[in-house]
Amino acid sequence: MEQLLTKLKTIEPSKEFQKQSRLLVLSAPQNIVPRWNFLFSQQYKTVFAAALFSVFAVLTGISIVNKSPASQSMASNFDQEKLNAEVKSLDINIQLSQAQYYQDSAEKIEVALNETSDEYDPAGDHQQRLDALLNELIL
Amino acid sequence: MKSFPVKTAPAIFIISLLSWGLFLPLARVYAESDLKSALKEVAGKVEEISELKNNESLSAEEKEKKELQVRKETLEKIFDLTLLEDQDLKDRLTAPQNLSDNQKKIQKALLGQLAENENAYKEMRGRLETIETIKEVKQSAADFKNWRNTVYNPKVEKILSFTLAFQQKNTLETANNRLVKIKSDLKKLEDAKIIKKEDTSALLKKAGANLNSAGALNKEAENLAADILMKEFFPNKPKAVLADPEEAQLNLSEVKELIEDSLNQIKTAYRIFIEIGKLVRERNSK
Repeated sequence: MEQLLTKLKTIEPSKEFQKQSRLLVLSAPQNIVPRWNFLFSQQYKTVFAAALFSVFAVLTGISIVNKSPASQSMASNFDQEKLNAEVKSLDINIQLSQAQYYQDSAEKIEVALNETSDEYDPAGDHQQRLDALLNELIL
Repeated sequence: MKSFPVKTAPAIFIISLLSWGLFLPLARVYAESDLKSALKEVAGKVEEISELKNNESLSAEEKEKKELQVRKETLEKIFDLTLLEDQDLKDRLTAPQNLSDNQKKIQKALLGQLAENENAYKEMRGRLETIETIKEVKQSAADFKNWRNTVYNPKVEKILSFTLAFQQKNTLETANNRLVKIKSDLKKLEDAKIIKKEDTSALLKKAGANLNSAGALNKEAENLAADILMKEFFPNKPKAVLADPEEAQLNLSEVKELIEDSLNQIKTAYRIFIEIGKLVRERNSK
């Protein structure tokens, strides 16, 4: 038995068989299976089609939504009062410009210094000017 | 045209109107707020003086003691407010960028004038620390008033005339940016067939003209202020031949008027923006 195994080990194909076999293998068409091919297998075809459709639907939906003016500003509602308030603030801010402040404050500080020094304006509108200064407390 | 469930077209317009930093730079607003609250404190002290005068419940001695304290505190508040204003004026003077050579010279001269105030501040600080009688506090108040009227206020006038035009440029820029944004939003609404171009083109043109006019008035104010102050600080003629201070004062008032006119043009442009907003809303609801 041992002799038989030793003999089988030494068995080799003939040179001609080797040559023919090699030629046969090399000339055969190279049929490489693509990595993503499984997606097109019957098993995955339906799932893949459904997923593709979903992505398409979502993207189209986003596109339509973006183009629709109705949805461009879901976050905000038109409010005429808000708009008017903003216009008012614009006026206020302009009125609050420093030029106005300095013009007012020069007069008011003069009145305050008149009060502190007991030296009053000879023009006689002292009370009126004092009231203007004291209005600062309620504005 | 079918109305949308959400009133979005005007909303887009309003968002663009409100989201572009409409107002003065925040820093300026805060500075103004500090000045206003300091002025309010002064008014509070003045009210205390008035109340004290009418207070019959205190003895003469108590009244005198209290009066000295309140008058001194009032003067301190006025002094503190003047220092706050001084700092604000310095900030205003150093804020403008890209000045011409002449404007840089004027800026330097005005900063120099503010630096000269330091002597008066030093003296007033010293007096406030040593005042002991009502007579002294009254005299210090009278002297400070005189200094403010003759020295301080004219400087403030010049600084304001010089800096107003630069400050207004921010408002102008904001308004022009807004116009661009509004045009872009209107284009979207035209594409969406919500409005027609002819609905707003005349209004847009008018708003654009208002803003152009505002820009021209601003430039005129800037140049006038620079001319007046250049003549004052760097006269070509001997001082004796120079125009009298009253004339210079009159011209500085003209600078303010130009700025006011320019601001009014901007306000008109904003009114037109609002009108366009209403129009868009009307079209959208049809």
